[in-house]
Amino acid sequence: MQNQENRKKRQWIILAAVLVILAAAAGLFLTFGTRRENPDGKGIVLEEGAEDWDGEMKDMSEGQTGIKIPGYGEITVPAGETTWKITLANPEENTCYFKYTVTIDDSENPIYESDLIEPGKAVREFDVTEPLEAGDYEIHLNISTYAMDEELTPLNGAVVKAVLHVV
Amino acid sequence: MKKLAAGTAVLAAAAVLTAMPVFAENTTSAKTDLTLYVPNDPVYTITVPETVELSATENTQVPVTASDVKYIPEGKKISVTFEKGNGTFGRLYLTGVNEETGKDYTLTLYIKGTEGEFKMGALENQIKGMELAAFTDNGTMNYELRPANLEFPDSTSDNLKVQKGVHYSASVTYGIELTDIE
Repeated sequence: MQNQENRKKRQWIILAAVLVILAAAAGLFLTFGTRRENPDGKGIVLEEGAEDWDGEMKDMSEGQTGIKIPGYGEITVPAGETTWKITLANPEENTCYFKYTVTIDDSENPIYESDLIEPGKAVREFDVTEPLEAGDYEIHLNISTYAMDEELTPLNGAVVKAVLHVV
Repeated sequence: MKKLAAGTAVLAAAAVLTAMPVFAENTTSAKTDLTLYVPNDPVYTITVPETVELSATENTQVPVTASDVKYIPEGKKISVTFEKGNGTFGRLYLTGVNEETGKDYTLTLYIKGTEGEFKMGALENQIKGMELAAFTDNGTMNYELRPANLEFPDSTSDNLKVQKGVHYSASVTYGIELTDIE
């Protein structure tokens, strides 16, 4: 009699354990199994601060298809401030996402990284991780481009360099 | 004590009264704030191909276009360079897999820019920073890519000949900046 009760108790414990494991597995699948990963493992995350942008630029490329990369002359930002007003744009003729990573001189540590910017949108100002002292630097706007498909396939990219005046 | 307090009050009143006329005179003047802000916007656009279909039998021309050129300072040009490939150490070569056998292959590429001489993509020190196109105004220039099998037609090395049934691919990162015209 005692043995039968013990056996029943064991069966209940095993059943409860199986249910807990199944619930945990279902939770993990719903959390990670259905997510589309972007290169940072965050899924497709569009830049919230991006505004509509036409750049007042006419399309003079005579219909040449490809990835249009904006280039810069000299850029000026205030010394000691972390908010920089630089237009980081993805021209509207593009059919891919842009992701900007901003570095200074030879440093590999980014001072700003955008999320994905859609064609026809631009980030007009952003916060850098640390302010710079007055002086001249070389700013590197690393542009990674991704196809607008399920896999976010990486495409040809560019590093746009410009003189950065911090005043 | 009372005298001291009264004296202080008189001095304070006198100070206020001497300052008042200065402000009073300005109440009728208008003020114009002058500001000048040049936005850090793009001043030109470079268009590079999204994909390039390479020929296995001849050199392939790759167009690069400058457009929307608004202002380039005197003595400067827009320089488009080879920054890096997606190979190890930024080398430029194609990779692919034979779907039937599962075997991986690479195919070395040669690249030629404005200097007019082909350089081997496996020698990253020779090709990093190579100028591919240069502009002072709107226009299009081509750079060239050449698969290694054209350089070594009799080679039996897997990396120097095109394998049938293999879909090769690679990507290029371009450097874009204003540099001095030499």
